[in-house]
Amino acid sequence: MKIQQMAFMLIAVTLFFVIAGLFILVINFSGVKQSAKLIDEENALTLVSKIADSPEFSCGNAFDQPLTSCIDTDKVMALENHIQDYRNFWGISGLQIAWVYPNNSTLANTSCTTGNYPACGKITLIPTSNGTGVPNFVNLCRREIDNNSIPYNQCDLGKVIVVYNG
Amino acid sequence: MVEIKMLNKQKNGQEEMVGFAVIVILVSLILVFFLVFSLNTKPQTNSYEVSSFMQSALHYTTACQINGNYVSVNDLISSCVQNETCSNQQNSCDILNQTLSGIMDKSWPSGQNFPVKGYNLTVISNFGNVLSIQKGNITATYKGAPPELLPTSIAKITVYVTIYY
Repeated sequence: MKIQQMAFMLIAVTLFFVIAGLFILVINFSGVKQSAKLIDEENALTLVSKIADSPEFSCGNAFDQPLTSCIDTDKVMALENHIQDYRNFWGISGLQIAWVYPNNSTLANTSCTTGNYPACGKITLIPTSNGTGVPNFVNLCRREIDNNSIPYNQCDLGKVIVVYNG
Repeated sequence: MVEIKMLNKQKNGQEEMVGFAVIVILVSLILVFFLVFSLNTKPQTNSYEVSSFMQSALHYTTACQINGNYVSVNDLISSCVQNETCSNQQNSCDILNQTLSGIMDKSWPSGQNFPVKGYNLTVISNFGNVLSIQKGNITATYKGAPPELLPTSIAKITVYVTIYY
């Protein structure tokens, strides 16, 4: 009888500890999942910055001072015709640069060509229709000429949208 | 004799129940401590996206020309603190307000039908509040960037951006 009582007691205590342990595990793993999601998002944003800072796009020292996350749009327009050479270079499936501000609503969906640049809203370097798009803010800089024919640097606010499969 | 045996059995059962209750209470206390500890860890509010936005917005070239040069938002904030006027006789603070409002509006479209419910941008110098732009609702879920300290010699200027979801 005593052995039976002890056996019941042991089962009850074990069950109780298992339930409590499961409770702790569930709470811990929900945090891990959230952290993993945050790290994935941050990695994707870092990839966007890395692409923006690559020599093919970056402003370098062309605009008075070295800027990080700054894209020389004049350079990008020159690169547009040779983008096929870079298709597998960054390991991405899509790449687009879009103006955020100033952004004329009529020009927002107008793709840039050598004929209409800079009166356009986006430069689609690698077109794609599927995948996960990650946008991040950058400066879009170019040389402009004012009303008195004096050249100056114009830096706008834009977004780089990188599309990757995954 | 039979009664004494029954009483002993009941006593043993009571002792086991008390032991079990003690274990349950101890484990519950540990669980409560664990819960308090895990819920007290504040969620990360500094966002890489908002930091990138702030850096890029500060380098935007504005329509204000001072000494023959178009100035960036960064420099326009310093001009506003010094109450300077642009070449077209417009007040630097007016252009700053207009530019930053436009940038916030286009970058973080907000409202009930958008993921972003509201935003707040504040520029503070050691002389006082320089500019404050606020739109939409302030919610408990938000993202921000570490305060940006502008490199100026005239005053200590700090920019804060918070986006509410």
